[in-house]
Amino acid sequence: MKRDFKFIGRIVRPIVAVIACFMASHAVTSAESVLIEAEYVHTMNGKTLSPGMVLITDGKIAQVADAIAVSPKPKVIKVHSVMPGMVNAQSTAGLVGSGGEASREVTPEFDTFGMIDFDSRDFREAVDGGETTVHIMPSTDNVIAGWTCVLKTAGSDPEARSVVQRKGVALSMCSDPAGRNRSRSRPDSIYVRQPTNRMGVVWIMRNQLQRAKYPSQGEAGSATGPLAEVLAEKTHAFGVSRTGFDIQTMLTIAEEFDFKPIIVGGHEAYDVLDELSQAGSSVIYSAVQASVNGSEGSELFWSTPTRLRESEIPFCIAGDGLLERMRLAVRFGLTADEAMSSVTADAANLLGISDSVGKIAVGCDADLIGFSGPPTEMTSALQWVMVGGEPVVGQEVAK
Amino acid sequence: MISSDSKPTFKYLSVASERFQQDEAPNMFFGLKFSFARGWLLPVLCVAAAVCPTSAEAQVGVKAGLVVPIVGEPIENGVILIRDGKIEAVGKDLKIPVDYKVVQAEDGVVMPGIVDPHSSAGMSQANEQNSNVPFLSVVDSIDPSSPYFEQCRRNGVTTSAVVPGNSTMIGGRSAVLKTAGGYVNDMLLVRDAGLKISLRPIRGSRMSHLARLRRELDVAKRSIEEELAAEKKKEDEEKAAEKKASEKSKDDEKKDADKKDDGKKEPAKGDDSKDDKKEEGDEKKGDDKPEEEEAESLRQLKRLLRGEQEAFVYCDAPMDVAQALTLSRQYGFQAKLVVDADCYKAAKLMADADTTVILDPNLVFWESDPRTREDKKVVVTKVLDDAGVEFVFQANLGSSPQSIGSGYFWFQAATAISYGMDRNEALERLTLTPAKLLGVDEFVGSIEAGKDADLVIYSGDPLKIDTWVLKTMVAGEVVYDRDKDDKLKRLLEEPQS
Repeated sequence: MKRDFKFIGRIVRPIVAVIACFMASHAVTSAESVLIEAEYVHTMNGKTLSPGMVLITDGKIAQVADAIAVSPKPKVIKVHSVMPGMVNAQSTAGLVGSGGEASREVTPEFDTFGMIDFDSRDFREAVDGGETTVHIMPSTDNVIAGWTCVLKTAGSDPEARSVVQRKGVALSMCSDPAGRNRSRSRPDSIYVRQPTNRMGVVWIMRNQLQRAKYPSQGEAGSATGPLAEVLAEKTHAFGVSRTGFDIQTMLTIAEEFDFKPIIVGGHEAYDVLDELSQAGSSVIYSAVQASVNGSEGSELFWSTPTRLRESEIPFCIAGDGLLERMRLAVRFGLTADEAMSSVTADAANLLGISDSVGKIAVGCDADLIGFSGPPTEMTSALQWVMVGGEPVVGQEVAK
Repeated sequence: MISSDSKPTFKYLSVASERFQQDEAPNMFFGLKFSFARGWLLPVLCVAAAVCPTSAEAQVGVKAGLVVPIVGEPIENGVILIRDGKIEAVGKDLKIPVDYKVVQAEDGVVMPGIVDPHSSAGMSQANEQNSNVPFLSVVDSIDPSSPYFEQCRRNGVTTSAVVPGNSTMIGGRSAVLKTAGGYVNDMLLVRDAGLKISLRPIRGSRMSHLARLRRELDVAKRSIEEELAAEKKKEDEEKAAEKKASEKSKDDEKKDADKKDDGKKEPAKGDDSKDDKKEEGDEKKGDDKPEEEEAESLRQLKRLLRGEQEAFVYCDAPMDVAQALTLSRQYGFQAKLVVDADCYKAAKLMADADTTVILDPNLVFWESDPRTREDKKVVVTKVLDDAGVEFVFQANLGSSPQSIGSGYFWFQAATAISYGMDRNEALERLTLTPAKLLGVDEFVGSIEAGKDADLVIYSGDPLKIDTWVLKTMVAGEVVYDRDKDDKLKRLLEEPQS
């Protein structure tokens, strides 16, 4: 149903890891092994171990248990709390320039992966803040902006850092694409074009989906384009909608064309809970929590994640400063476990990458973050971050 | 030559400034209640107490699960007795007299109210168009019903220094207020809490900005020097006259004495004594306003240089720290530094200056080396702590914060703690340290007998993520109650759609 463009290695590696762990549980002699001893292991896989241990071999989680006996004793890292590295489901890390193509409004073939600066400071900031996996979305200036991608935030080799090169197609069901265009101006500008308002956005989106669904002979190629894949439910559709009205419109269009979009933004999701529930949609919630009103004047409620949880709508919390968002979600009503899950396992589930990231389970990537206290407390220091078993932040603590 | 030219101008200016003072007098009358800090007002205090009866200051006893008094050890199951808005006693086994109203907070943690050391949010416009306005006072711009004060009470801030914005060269005078009250004069703790000077160039270059600032300070400095010279001259003349007089007959002596009295009045004009100024002020009523402003500006700058008021100096860049310290040394005024996040680079200068600085709300940020493009995370609190700089926090209460967190003082303290600051130290820097910096620690900043009963009742550990302010008290009165906070409920509970 969902097609993730993975490298063959991605498929093979878990198998190798399982074998490795099988061997590890019996007699681990690998010099690569690291044992994490924590007062709390927040596995995000059903339970919290207290105390607990995590054994890492070859960049993968080899064993998770209350106590692990390995001989000879591997390198040991002691920490108060360990949880999976955070998965930021809406990030713009590493995007060069505006993050969108200006020449056209409809660029479904546009590949976000191709314009990532892997050396960008964004990644260093992200990993320093505990994000180990990021879902990178193109800018919302285009009605149909192109492919999103999923990356690890650290690692020297760009290819190895890629988790999914083409995760899904970004659709902007909001007023953003209308922002830069105008109807009357010097005719030599590319911005004299549709959409200049929100109904133009809807028209273009519907028009494009129509073409993908019923390709005319002249446009035979459309049937195999990204939108056709969306309609065939071979890939995700990420619909950026913030106000309740825009979310409703996105859901209406999706119903017309029979696909299930993931709502991104979702500031006013509290207002359309029934619609979201009925549509079986999920939400990547990334409200800007700084001001009273979000962008497009959307009304903010601190309790939106709590409302989504109560309505059993799958959601994750995303956006810049993810650690702070996770912590504030606790302040605003989620339990600590729910909040931690909303930035790890829930996000990985939503993106369909939960077999490799988002939880502390055997066979998963050893993307872990260690804290000096409870992870949801502001006073707890994020002591180290590990990506693929490699300490990338706080090396001195982790080594 | 120069002195004789400028002398008449000075004479005129001082007359104008007196008139301004006279205009100000009625306002001061209402402000007296909280103007303890100004020693010269003390004689009139009793009058103020009689004129402004405070609203039913009942006797209150607060039962707290934990009292964190800041000064002294935390007290489990403590009791705080409040009488007439002041803390009467704090202790473990205090009996609450029967006529005291009891505030139940057995599950709560009670701390002294937070002191906001620098905020421009409480005033209607932080910055003036005119960049040189030392004659203004924030008191005229404070709106007690502004969302800022509401936010303060909601978040346990009971005392706030409202200071003109960072984008005016000389931005006017600040005030220290309690965050509860319906009328600005009822809120005032210190009416005249220091002049705001900003080193951020708004128009033109840094060079011209500093040159303009120095020019203003020079005028004031010269004026003081001339004043002193004139006084000295007068004294010399008087001495000479006395000498002459002693040689004369008794009849002549009497005449001279009359003249002397007249002469003494004149140099007194620059002083703050008000008695004989009223008449002269009235005579000058037809004056132009700009000149009046100029005179008052000069008076305020002279007060600064004479040490009668201090300055908040905003440093926009690390280099400004050096400039601020130099200006303060050269012109002999006391400067409280308000520093931008980037000023961590001047940590050593600040440490050497042995001063408490007021930090930017942005405590953690990233920067790239312009040459090597190397990225570096900067934790301002850690850099300054390591360098031995004393500092207090700022929060973005009321204005638009970069993140929801940096709008709260508890968040700032918790952030600093996560990067290694001592917990008690952090709590002190929210309360007593800023109170000392503002010179109001005699009244606020800790829970001690004799201080104002400005208390905050938290639902738990004040720095825990899910702790909320349950009640805020100012002078023994509950001015915020979470149970009655409908706005907060709307943000947190099910929206009415």
